[in-house]
Amino acid sequence: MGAAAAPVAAVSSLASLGLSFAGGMDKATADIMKGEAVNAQDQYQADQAEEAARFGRLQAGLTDVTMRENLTKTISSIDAMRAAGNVDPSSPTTATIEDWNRMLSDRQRTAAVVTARSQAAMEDASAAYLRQAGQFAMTTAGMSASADKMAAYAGLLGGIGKMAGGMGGFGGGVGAGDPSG
Amino acid sequence: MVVAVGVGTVTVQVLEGQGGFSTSDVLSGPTSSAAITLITNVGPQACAVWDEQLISAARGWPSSCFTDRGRLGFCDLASAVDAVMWSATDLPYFFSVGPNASDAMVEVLAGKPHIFHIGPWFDEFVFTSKGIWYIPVGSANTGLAPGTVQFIPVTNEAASQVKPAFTSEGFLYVNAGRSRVNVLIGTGTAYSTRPYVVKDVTQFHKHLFTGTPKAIAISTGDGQAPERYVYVTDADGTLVVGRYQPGKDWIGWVPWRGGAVYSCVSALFGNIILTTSYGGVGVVEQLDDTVYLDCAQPLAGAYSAPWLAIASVTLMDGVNNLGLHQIDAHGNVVPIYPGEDLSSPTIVAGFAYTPTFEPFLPNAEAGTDQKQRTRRRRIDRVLVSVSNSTGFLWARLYAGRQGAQLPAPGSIIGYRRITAYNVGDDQTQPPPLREEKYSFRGPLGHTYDPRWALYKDTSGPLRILEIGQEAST
Repeated sequence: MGAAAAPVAAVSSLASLGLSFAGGMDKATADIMKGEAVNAQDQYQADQAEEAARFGRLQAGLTDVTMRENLTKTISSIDAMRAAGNVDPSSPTTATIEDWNRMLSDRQRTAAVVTARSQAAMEDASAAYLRQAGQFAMTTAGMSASADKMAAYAGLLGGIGKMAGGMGGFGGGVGAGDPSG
Repeated sequence: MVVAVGVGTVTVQVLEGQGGFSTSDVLSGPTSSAAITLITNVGPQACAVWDEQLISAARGWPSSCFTDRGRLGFCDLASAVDAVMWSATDLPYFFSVGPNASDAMVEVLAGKPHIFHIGPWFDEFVFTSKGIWYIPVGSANTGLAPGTVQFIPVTNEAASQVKPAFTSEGFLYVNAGRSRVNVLIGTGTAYSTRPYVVKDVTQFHKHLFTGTPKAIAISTGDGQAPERYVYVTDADGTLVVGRYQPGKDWIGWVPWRGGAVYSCVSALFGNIILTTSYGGVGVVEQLDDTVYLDCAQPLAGAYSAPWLAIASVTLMDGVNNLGLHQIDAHGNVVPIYPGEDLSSPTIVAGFAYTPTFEPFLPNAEAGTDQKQRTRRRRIDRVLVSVSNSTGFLWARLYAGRQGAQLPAPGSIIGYRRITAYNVGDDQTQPPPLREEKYSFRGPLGHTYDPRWALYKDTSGPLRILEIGQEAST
């Protein structure tokens, strides 16, 4: 009865090796898919960031134009109000007030535009980072997959080797006979 | 600003607010740049952008100034006659223009008028060669800040360079043609679109302003006289005095013509200061109701009046008229008689003048037929009530037909002198100040406008309290 049991164990071990190898290959595939998913997510976020950067630059441009238009309106209103007050356009105080308004507007405009453009630059940097991160995830996934495959092959080869060793023991056993048999 | 470019050299005029250069700077242009290797300071360069002071020895000085709401102001600027400049609030030496509410201001009135004066009141008034404007200031002083100054027209009747005088109700000013005096007053209508108006106050007295008015001053009633008087000097050296009545639109004007040539008049509260000349000698005088002579100066017992060594003078000791005295070439007072005692410290010397009072005979009121102004009239009796009197001359004046053999209109055709001393008075003492009523017969005959006058031809006090005239046709 003992002799009859050994081949069954060998077949079982072979099946186990096959399963283990297949599992390793599947893990590699899963790593690659995971890497692709991360990459896709990063690329999507990078696209979003680039879109936000483009919008930010557009917004900065619009802010610049709007604030320049507001300054023009302000200075025009000052001129109109001063003219209504019979103040000559050459009035030094008018020039000073308009210069003051120009300075205030320039300062506010510069702050707003620089803020918006800085935000856009940050969005661009984020997009670049995310694209790099996606690529990195892909590379990492590939490497993980390769490692998994290597581990699977190693497991398979090790199992085969072990099984071969086992098979040798099985033959010796047959030659020696089972003392119980 | 780059003013010149040479081979390897750039000349730059540094403008206000800009810094200088250093050798660590790089001079960059549209197509290239170069390091600055050497900096050499040179004098100011000619350039198209510059700031210059409104007031300087080169550009001239302002002719008028004012203070209002903590600001010192100048106008009639030689370099910009249409501009007004205000100092920063409460900083009368600071005129750097800025945009904030308390900063200094320079405003230019549109239309290029010549701004002669600014008159501060509830608002500020701008007297110019093209009319009068006002700058609304408001009780919160919001109108007198950079950017809020407005020039709102009051009238297009131009003003002259004569400095306006401030009354309790507005400003008296001389028109551009210097032919009359106007008053700028408030309408008293709150929130009106026309809060100020201009009225002519010399409408029926223009003949008195024989020259062109050159100065106006107003006594506020804080001085010796409680009334408000207006003093106007003319370019021909005469003086016209008016009594301003608050709440009324007119001023009663009378000419002052003594021995003085009046140059200018100014006022500080109740004090009236006159710049005059007597015989070519310039004098600054202050009106004083307690002396009865022009150009009065105390002799102080010195027997000498060198400042009056131009003519004879009248001496007075209080109300005691010591008579006309000659001044010799050395300025010494020549006694009228040998041994005349002029040692009193209260003796003053000056020039006598003759105040004249000639009232009109009023017309009968319009209404029921009394043949008003169509019949010759006669003054039957005149009553003059006086106080503080040291005598006067009451005279009948000719007002009849004119002809070659007839007296000139206004000639004295009869008179009665009220003497300083009456029989029994101690003539060694000053004359008594009498308070009496005197009755006089009027001029004989009938005429349309009979005339009489009262002359104070001896220097001394006299106050006319009341006159009464009885007339018939």
